[in-house]
Amino acid sequence: MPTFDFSFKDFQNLVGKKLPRNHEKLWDILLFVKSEVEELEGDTLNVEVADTNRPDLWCVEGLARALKGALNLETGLPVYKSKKSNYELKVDKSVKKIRPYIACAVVKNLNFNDPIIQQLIQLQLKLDTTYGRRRRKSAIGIYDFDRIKFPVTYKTVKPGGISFIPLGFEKRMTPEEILSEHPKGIEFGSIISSCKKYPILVDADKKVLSMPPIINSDDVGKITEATKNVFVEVTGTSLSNVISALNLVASTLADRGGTVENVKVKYGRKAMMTPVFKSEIFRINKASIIKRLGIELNDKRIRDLLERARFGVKKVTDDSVSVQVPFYRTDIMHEFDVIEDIGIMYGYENIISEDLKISTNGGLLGLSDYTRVLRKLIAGLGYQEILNYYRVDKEVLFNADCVEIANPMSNSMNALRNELLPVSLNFLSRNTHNEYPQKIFEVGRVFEKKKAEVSEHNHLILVACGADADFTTVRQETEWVLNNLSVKYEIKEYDHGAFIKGRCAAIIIKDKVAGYFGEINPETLARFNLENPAIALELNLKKLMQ
Amino acid sequence: MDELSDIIDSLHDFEKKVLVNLNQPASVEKIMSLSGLDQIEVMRGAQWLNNKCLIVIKEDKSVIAKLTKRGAETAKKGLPELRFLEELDKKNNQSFDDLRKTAGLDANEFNKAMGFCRQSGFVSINQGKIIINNLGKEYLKKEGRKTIILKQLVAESLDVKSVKHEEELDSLKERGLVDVEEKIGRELAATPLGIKVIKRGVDLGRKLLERNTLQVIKSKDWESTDFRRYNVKEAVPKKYYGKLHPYQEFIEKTKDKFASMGFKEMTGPYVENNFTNCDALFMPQDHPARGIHDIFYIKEPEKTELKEYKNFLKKVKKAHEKGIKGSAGWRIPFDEEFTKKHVLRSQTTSASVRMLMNEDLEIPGKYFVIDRNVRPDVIDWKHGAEFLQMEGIVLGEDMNLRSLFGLLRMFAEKVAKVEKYKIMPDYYPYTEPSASLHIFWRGKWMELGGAGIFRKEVTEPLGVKVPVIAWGLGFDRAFMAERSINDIRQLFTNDLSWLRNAEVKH
Repeated sequence: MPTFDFSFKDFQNLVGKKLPRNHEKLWDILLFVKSEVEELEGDTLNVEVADTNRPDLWCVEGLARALKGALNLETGLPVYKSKKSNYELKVDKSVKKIRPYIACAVVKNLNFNDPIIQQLIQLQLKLDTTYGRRRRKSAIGIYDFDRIKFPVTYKTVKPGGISFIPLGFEKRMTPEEILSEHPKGIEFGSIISSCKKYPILVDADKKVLSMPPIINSDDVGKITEATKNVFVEVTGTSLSNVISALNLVASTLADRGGTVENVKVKYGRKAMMTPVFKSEIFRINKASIIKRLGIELNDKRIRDLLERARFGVKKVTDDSVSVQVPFYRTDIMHEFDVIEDIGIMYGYENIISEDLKISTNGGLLGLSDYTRVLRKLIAGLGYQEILNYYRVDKEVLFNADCVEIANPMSNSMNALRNELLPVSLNFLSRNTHNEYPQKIFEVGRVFEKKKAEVSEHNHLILVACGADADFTTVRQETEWVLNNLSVKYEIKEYDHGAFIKGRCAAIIIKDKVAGYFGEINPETLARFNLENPAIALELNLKKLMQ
Repeated sequence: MDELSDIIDSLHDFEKKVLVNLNQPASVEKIMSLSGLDQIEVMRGAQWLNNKCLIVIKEDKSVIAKLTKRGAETAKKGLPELRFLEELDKKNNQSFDDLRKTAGLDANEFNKAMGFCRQSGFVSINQGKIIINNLGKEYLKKEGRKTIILKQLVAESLDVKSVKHEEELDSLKERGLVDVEEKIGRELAATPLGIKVIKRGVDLGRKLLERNTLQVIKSKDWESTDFRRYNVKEAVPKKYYGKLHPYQEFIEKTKDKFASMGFKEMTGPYVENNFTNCDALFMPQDHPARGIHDIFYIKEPEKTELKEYKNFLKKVKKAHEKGIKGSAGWRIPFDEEFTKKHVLRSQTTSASVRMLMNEDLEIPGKYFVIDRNVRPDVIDWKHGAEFLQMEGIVLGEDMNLRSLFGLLRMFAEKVAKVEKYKIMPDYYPYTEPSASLHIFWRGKWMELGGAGIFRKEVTEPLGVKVPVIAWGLGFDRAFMAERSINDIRQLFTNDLSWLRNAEVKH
């Protein structure tokens, strides 16, 4: 979930109201924007925004914008304007197969200070990472407008075809060198490295602005407190993402007092003006409000709540409401998305809960009931129940044919267990300092490859380790379990690598091996650092339950 | 009956035989010869008497020196350098060969002795003859003590304290000729209470019954003979028996609670696929939280065929790409191969998805599951290698935000059993609206879980026409709170002793 810091004072200024410092009271207010106070220390407020689908809330300006509505300080559709201008950006057709879309804006008369720049960088990072899918879908670039000569061109170059000083470096580098040497090139290079040519932005004087989506140039691509006017661009593979991300950045700068001017983006003969601060009309059914929220609202109340959520209300008819959705609400997909906001503005604390009127018969799965019976039976034999992870080190398993994890975090958990015996012996090997005899059992899942599928069964394992562990005991215990469960079985000779030859037996149920038991061989004991004799019984519950 | 006779009745045969011989303090060895018991029997009797405060056992540690195998040989022959010097002292000015023969040394011993004596300046060589000087003679006098010690030790092992020349003994030790070992001598002495017992008289001839046996019962010996009294307050060795795992018991208890509230248990596999784990929940396929850093994938079989869900797959694909009635969908291409990829379940919500697709689904219905999940988190005190979730669904025509709040209230009041709680707006990718439940517990607000009504984009492709409330409560935390456990890794502990000693809750 997006978490970020900002100045509490700045936040209050943007909202236009003094806010409580008390943790719980502040929390109650931030609930309207689905955010939680993590910490307020001095002037630094750290919040976590729960909504990962609302990029407009991932900056202090956006939180303030939404909160002004919730607190009834400024309601309805927020007004953002972009002035017409003559700035142009040409899109070369060579970008089409690599990174086809770009949207841009010019924002003037800014009064930057360090905290504002920090917020901007924070927003850019969050939008690129989450909304822009780690820059693949969209990536933002911000430049010092006064050092750019229009028109700007978005085109491609050969990996070694140009050189410029990338941000944070002192020497000129080619795109190819940037991908292999610059930290951002190494981090994001895979987005473009498979292409024959790389995207580049240059101005009318052929000065390089940036190499999207990797890195800005060190001169025009640097924002400082002295910067008054900026050029913002977003490139990407999704037109709607590119436009939305640009709108978000431009509107945030407008909140800071900037004047937004649009740019004509020319794709050959076709042209498009960006940014586009246009609201969309979304119709919601009044019946859906009561159906989803369970609360009855009159027209005035519906209008009031929607406006507090910063929607515009175009028209209310007998059965529907025409809602104007601000351009930054990219999360609105279904009428329920709007209706939830009505509920939030109504206040969850004002919604009276209703007992579930559904009367149903509860119950456990047959397997759960069976497992319970079995566990009690085994505990009665004097065994301590243990629980182990499903993931294990492949090396521990007796049977190497197992389900392996493609991206394990560590070798100690790189496969799924296919038998419980090795896992239990592993448990004993970590407890050799505890008193003997040690008698343990577990009922749990094991995993097996079966063509294109993985089959999961529940197994029972019991292992006893101590001076008295012998075949007679394990056979007596096996029979005790099976007879109590009224299972018809046969006992046959069996070979299993972990057991002493001639002291291992299979349990046959309906002509199939349902499990085995016997005395563990000294080689296996040594492998698990066990100095006492041990016996074990492993049973497949599915075969047992037939 | 008085205290003394109670004590006497509790005495084992060994105890009696030891005690009657303790009018005077005596060593274990002496008691052995007096009582006819062997050492183990005396010691056991003594220990028991000691436990009953009838005797004290004084331990006397001593260090005993004895010859090693090499030491014994050397003692027979004498130390080479001393023999070398002795012979020279007897007859000075000897040739190499003569001296070697008279001292009875082999070539190796002779060379070593020669080297040592020359280096120490005990001898000089003149025209092929060896001459002992005063330094050598003095050394011989002093070192003669070593020979004496060796000879003494041939006769018997000695208490180190009785050996006069400590320095020489140490040197013999260093040369590996003498070994020392610690020996504990025990002296037994009756306490005043013990003396009283002895004075009262311990009847050695009086038989008491030891173990109760089939024989004793049948023969009716117990009618005429008393059982020896046991000291019931005495500690016995600890033993461990069978017991259920406290965490599993907590799971079972919670399952019962949900069943009693009318919820049916549902299930799903741990090896899931992208379809049931994410796609059917309308999570966009290109979402950054679906990469290899957030979900475990498996090597082989890499993909499932999703045979049983073919029809659902088509509809889910359409919902992602083109939306459903009233929703535009994600409008990004849906990768049918990616959706088939196996993953390790990252949330039990996939079990709810499977229930919705199950032909036995009941409407109205209430379902729950408690099961394991895994995500590639770095393991620490609050992130276990596997974590349990408890969640489920409630389906019904009239389900809305108010009923969802009713459900959360039920969890707060009946499951967590708290009076103070808050329901707040929240976000989950597959529910709209969504809410979370916070409870005031032990002086702090704590998030217990969340709930929401499944998005239409989730339910409609799965063929469910009524609203579905989806809910989930944190499970590991609940158990940690019950047990006051601070480290989540304790839940799947490898520590047998923790399990053996864990309290059984009721």
